[in-house]
Amino acid sequence: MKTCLVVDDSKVVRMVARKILEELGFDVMEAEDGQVALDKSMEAMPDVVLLDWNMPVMSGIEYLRALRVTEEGKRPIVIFCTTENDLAHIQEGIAAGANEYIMKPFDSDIIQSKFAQTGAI
Amino acid sequence: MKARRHHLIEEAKAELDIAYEEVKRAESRLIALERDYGERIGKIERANGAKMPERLARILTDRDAERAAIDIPTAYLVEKATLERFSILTAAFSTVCVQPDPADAARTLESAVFRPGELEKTGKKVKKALKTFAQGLHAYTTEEASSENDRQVRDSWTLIEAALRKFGRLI
Repeated sequence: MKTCLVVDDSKVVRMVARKILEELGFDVMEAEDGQVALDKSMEAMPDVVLLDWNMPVMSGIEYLRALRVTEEGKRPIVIFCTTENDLAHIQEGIAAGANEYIMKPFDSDIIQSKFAQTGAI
Repeated sequence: MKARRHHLIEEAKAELDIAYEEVKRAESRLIALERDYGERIGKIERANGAKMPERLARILTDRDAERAAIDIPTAYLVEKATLERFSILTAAFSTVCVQPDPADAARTLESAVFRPGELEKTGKKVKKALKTFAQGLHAYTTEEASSENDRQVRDSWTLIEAALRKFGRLI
């Protein structure tokens, strides 16, 4: 079973994403900020990360940069999630090592399609 | 210098939309499930025979388990919580946007966000957070959309929300 780490400071987003991802066959882990996500990634590197951008303690991009530096062997697919749609913002995420991005709000069809595009499912 | 809308409110709206989509999805799954089980139960009843009660009991147990897995009450509760959060945040944002002076906005926020008597029970920290929120949001939207102003808005709002939760708000 593939693992997906859902990183978002919103409990609601984590809860909904978990439900959708479990239905897609993922074993889901959760983190409420980038630091917790980094700690969990070091313990067990997930196959996929669904990553929020604006979070307290450590933002999504800070986590992503740290992840790409520290990962060994297993390189998780990272799909970042944001409400910001300006091109510079998206380019920044891709340059930092994200594979894809999803605009919020998302639904199960969007998650399924983006995960399929990246080969996560 | 770049002034812009603050994304906290867009995030709250996105949260509400995500919860709403989840309710719609759960409702349509529940409708499909009821239709499917209705047909299957009808077939069993029409088939009749000695094994009918046992088969009927089994299928009803399966249906109840699938209903529980969809968990529509939680989906409704989550939607209600996101709606409450978005409403309070909208009230706070509009208060700061209509008041040109952040100090006036902070005073208005006290009654826009909290119910009578609540703020007095929270202590100075929350009252200060209301001021910091008003100053930060005012600066972010009219002066500079900097990460410092963004952080000021987010951190102070986190404190305000924590206080509201203590009064039983669902946010």
